[in-house]
Amino acid sequence: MKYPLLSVLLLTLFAACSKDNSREDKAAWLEIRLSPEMNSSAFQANANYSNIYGELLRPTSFKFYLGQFKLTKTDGSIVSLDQYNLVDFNDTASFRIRMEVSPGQYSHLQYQFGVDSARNVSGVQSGPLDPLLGMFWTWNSGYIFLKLEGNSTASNQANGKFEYHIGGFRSPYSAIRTLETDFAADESGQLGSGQTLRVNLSVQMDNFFAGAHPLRIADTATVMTPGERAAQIADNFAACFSTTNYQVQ
Amino acid sequence: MRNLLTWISFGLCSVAVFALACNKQKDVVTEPIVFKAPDGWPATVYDFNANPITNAGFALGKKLFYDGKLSKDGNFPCGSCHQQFAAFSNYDHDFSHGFNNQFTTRNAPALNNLAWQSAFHRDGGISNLDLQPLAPITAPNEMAETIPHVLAKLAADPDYPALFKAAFADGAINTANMTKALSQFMLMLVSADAKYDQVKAGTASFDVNEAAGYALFQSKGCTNCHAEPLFTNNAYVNDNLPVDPVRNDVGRMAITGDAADYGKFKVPSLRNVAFSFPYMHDGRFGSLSEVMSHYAQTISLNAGEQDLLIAFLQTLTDSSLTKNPLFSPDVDVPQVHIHN
Repeated sequence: MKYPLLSVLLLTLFAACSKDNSREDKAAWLEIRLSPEMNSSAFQANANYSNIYGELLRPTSFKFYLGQFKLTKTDGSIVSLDQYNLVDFNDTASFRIRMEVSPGQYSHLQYQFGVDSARNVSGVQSGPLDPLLGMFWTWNSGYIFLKLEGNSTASNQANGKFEYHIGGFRSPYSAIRTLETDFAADESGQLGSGQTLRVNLSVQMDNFFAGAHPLRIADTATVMTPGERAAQIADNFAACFSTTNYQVQ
Repeated sequence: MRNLLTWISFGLCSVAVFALACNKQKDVVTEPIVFKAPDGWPATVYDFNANPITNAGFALGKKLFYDGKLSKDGNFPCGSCHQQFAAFSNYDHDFSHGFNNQFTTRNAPALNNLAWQSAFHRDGGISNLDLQPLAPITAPNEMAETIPHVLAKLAADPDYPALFKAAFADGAINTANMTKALSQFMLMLVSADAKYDQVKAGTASFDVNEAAGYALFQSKGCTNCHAEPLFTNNAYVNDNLPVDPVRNDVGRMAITGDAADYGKFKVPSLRNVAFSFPYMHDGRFGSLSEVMSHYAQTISLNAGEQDLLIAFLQTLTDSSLTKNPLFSPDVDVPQVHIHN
């Protein structure tokens, strides 16, 4: 941030101005906590795992885009957070995504794996979407939504390498997937000002290989382009997500 | 005493005038660089609102375009494969040379009228002009660099930080600003003052061969793809060229994954076509005569008609592009000095 002092001043000013407003206008937070796992343990770099086909694998890189969080209130109004986050298993701080929202009774959370088509084609983006982060295909404009790279004895590539670069925003092989969490109709989704609605998401990487479209490293050690296979793996990855629990704190 | 003061102030003024004269590049107020769409042309595609052209932005873009720093070993600036005297194509090269004695995989296209194009590369894989430079910069067989490393080199350079500050409000040396500056330079490569354009404007006239060639150009259906005034319809077409087994270039299909796009390539503009040889996506034809022979297989064109068509195509040569000092690597861009 270029003007930290100015931002603090503005925030203070904003806080001061909104002091007398109703409780609804004060800040609250949505916090997403991601827990990538495989074989019932944390999914991390250079650890050993096996998929359901018995193929041994050791991941070296695992990154993906998650964003466009949308919270629906029980009155039907929607809080949209037009932002993207690059989750990287070598940067555990990226497992925690914290966003300011308004207080209220929430019933539903929607979020997106991948990057919307407009941002794929409308020039060079900044921040988490800066192409310099390497999550961009320069020769076929578009974001790589997910990178999973590593080594496996099952791979037929040099050094037993496997490399899955999943993306694509064009029909019919869009790899964008929308994910959802429902909150119970009781008071548990009631978010007061100053409070945080924390949603714990599990990312079970076993499903990446064992999902609706079986992915055997021996058969497919590399997927590097948008297309049917990438879209299938996006289905598998979407099936990796589940809501462990949520609470207001 | 009074005299002395007068002399001193005169002296100071002279120094100031002298300093101004020495610093001419910076302080002379010149005409701003303005993008002007020629009258009667279709609407531009590029979003100028998101990247308004300024002299400082254009000057930065031009410096970047001709700077080897954007390549790994310093030998391959954008301008090495897009040479002004060759209408920003690569003169007499089917494939261009890249890092470590490697060839590119397709013929470097001539650059002109890019504000009217919605997709770039022979296969249209790149959807925005700002995104285009990222491909050659990072291709291992072209400039072979990484974006973070290029930005680090620019940040460490004695000149670039000030140039970025002058060109962009946030002054940041980042991917977006670097590519926007490059776009500003490339967008100005407008070709709209060839003899053809002058004839259209009524300030010149075709000779008898050119006029006959123009009539053939229309009657033989060339304009179906090479539509005036841009001389392209920006579509993807399979031109019945046998696929080279070494390259096995499937063209547009590599982007869409659609078998119907096998062997299709983007229709190139014919502007400055006399300068952009060799021709086709892989530079397989060295001359316009060879191109004509190819089309004569599917279109009825006798030898005389082919010559007339070539005579017409030569009227698309635009020296206001190929010889304009504004685009020359050797000429500084005048800066607009804004007095507040």
